Amino acid sequence: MIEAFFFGADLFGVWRAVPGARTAWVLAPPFAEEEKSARRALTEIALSFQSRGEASLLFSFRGQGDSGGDFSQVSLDDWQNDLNSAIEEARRRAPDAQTAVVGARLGASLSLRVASKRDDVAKLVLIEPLLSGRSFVGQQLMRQKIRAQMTGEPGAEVEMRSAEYEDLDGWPLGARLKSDLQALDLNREVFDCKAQTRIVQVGPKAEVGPGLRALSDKLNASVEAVVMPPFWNLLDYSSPAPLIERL
Amino acid sequence: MEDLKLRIKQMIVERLFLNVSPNQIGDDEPLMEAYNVDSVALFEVVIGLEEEFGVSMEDSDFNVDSFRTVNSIAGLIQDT
Repeated sequence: MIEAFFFGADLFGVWRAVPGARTAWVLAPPFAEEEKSARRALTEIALSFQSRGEASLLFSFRGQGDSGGDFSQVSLDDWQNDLNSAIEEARRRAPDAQTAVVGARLGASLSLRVASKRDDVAKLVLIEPLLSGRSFVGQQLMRQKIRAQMTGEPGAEVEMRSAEYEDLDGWPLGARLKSDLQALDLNREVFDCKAQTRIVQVGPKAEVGPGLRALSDKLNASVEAVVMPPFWNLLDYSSPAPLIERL
Repeated sequence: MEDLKLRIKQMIVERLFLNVSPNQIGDDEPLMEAYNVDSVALFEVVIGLEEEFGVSMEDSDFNVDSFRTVNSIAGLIQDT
């Protein structure tokens, strides 16, 4: 059974119920443009959970997807609250199941923060977590620049700025969110994560990079590399099957 | 220089999941036309340059012309 609904702070979620499920997953999506590209892959991951008898809640953070809220006004604290709401919602809908969280990119980084402050998350899967928010913001601005130069979009090379926000590839990045992102640095933050944690690197490399390796050492988590295109960056469809096989 | 170009080609093949051997890419072959490098693919190449060659480009430094061929990318790396 599938149900689309709103919960918490006007958050849009899709619940895939499985009677008698022993695990209920919460799927935490990536940031902004990456969420749009990742949506289909996350849906396929949710379907794979369902096919093996596990329930799931795929939601969007406020200001993204079909959730309400003003993107330009959000903070990472807001999104961490949203993730907590999603976990509570999954627990309410599947009270006898253990709760698990799988996050992708920024969703993974926030999942780690949130799970570290709860004792009711049994499993945590971090798909290519953002280690450095500062680096991420820089890369997004670069992506915007690349597209502008390649397409010759009129005016696109000029970063639109106002007193309240700046344009991040079409998304109004508020000062608070930008500041929060720039402060995000997983390998410097302290975590007390009780959940069984797995880190999954997704990309062209078969060897796990030093950043994720350091994070896994710090968390005492397992880490592995899945060689496949970074689905959160793609316009075209790319099957997440190699990733799903490992989840 | 030849080693550098081969590493660049390997990075491009790997990052873009191309079904060609790195040696098949010509030094002056127009990458965007020959391999359908769009803005998303070029972004991956830029990230590859950062991660594998230590070339960090500030937003203001970026010029798409530096990425048109392997030779131009090699020049970019040598100039930084």
